Amino acid sequence: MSELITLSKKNPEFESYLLGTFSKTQRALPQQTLNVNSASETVTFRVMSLTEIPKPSFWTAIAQIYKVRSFLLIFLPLFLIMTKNVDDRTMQDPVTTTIATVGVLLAFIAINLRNDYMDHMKGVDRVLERSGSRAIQSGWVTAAQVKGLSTVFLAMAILCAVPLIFAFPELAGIIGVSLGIGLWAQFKKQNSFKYRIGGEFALFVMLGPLLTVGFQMSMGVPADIESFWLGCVWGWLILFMVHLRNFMNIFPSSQAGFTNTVNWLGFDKARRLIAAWWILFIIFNLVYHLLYAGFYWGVYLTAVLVFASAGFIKKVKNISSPVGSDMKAVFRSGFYLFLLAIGMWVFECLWYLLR
Amino acid sequence: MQRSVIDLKVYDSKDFPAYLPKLNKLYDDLFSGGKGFRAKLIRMMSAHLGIEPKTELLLSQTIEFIHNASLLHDDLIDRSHLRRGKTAAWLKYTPEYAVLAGDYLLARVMVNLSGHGNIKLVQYTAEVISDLLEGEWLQDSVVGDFFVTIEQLDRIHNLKTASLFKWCIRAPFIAQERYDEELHNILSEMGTLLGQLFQRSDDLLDYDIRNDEGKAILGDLKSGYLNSFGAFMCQGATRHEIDHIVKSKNLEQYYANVGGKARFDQKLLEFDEINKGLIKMYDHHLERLKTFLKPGEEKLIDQLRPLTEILYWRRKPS
Repeated sequence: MSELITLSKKNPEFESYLLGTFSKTQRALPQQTLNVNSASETVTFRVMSLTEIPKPSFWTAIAQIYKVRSFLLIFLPLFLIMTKNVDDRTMQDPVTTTIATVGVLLAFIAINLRNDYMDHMKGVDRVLERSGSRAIQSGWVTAAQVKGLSTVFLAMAILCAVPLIFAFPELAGIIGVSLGIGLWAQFKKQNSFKYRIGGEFALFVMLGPLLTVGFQMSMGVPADIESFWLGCVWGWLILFMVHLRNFMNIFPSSQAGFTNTVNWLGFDKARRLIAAWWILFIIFNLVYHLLYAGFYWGVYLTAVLVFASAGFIKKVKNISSPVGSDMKAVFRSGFYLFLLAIGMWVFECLWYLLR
Repeated sequence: MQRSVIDLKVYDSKDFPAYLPKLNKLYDDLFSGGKGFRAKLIRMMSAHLGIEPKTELLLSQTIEFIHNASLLHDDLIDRSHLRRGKTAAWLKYTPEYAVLAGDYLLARVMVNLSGHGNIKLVQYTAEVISDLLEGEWLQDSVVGDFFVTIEQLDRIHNLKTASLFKWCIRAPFIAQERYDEELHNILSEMGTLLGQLFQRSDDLLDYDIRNDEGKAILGDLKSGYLNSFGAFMCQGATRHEIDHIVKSKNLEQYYANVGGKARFDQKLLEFDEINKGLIKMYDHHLERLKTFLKPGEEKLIDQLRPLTEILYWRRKPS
């Protein structure tokens, strides 16, 4: 039989309920939150015994908790860099390449888990109903367990970094900067790291140029402008998705006082930002291809993306409400463009590898 | 002291300038015929908290002025022809007068409250007016959107409807200079829940559910507004199905388009079940409120408890 309990931040038990450490046989699922993102935050929990909580299948739980779908964000840039170096016949060390791939994946899982934990503790996942994996909110795992798992994955990622630094000492700088950004995110007192304007830039750097340049170096190939460019184009595309998601959440996240570029610009200007961001992505992608990857592929990709963008730009231009169903339609349309760009890159890479 | 909720006169033409053409006539029409539920809620709170009659009148006037100002604006925005069975003000007196009359009521609220001297009450009331206007703005932006979700509508209703209910139960405590943060958190939660329940029940009237007051059937839907129950009914339906559902001309057609009367009744039971969860949450907060009341105020709990019955189930208080 479930019961309701309301606790405010001032209550000494508040954190243990959020962390899920208050009981070994029960879970506290947040139902209602007041004054999120403030010192007077109050949360009403539904306390349920473990047996009452519906459990998903093992694989569903794994896929959800570790956000397997988002692995694409990490595998794609690695695949692009690998294709570049295989095609250029510059790859030196398959062993370090493998270690780097595993290490990056472990670090990404650690960041994802930490992100879920932070969102839960700071109330972001209570304001934005569809944020994160929802595994903590569903009671499948506790926030404390997620934090613990994150630490384990981070430790394994650092272990992977050690042989790489011994093999290629110049990698230490890149790993150090990534770790520095990660620590800054961890110790930011206020909102979740990604809901800060500086956080967007950090995300761009970490998932973009730092990742591509670092991965190339771990293959034994010196850093070059092409890998940096590729990282910038990819990072730009990632930020397109971040802005799009922030735009979809502009109403609840503004109410909760989260700061990001979209909220700072407001509804009307943010629409223009998103359209401009996508158009600039197409231009950057074209320039990258003209400089490094090949004229015909550049023109072909650009033509397809421009043609496919018409519907999206029209939807962004016509959207008139921050709460209606059009927001979802715009997000979906932007997400399809994101997938189209990725799909075409993969196709292009396969063409280079198999020709 | 037993006070009647009927004899409270929140509008008096003497309070408004006689030299403004049409103003008092417009307000006479506007204030007559309303249920004055929010003022009654203030009255009930005041009676148990021992609030002076003068303050009680001020609070009642404030909430009714704000509510009626929103009705003046709403009718114009929605182009509604009728209000409380009479021609809407914007039609009878021109849209310009309707807007000015609404704005004037809000201005008078601020004049009256600042005269009372409790700056926290003035600040909180200004916040509520701001929330209300945000809600109206957003509600207008989803007219014609038949794919809106119940969660999205809840966000709008929290601003537009629940903010006034919150004000009704928080303002009497603020007027007494009782500012305890946790007390106000509880009252905010309760007010939000009452507002949501009231709105959802009001939305059910559109589908002739517990519609004792004879509200027009499918009125919201026909004006292009998918209300909370409408959004709940459309959950999981395809775009094609929703297109059909929203074009229903009458309830018979509506039942047929949602898959039959039995399915409609089943969905209604599910909707009621969700709202029973909100009522349970309200009762939970009511228990928490007990600890913040002074001796002699405990009876307020007994008065607040049946509000969910009245607001959601539309049952008369026993």
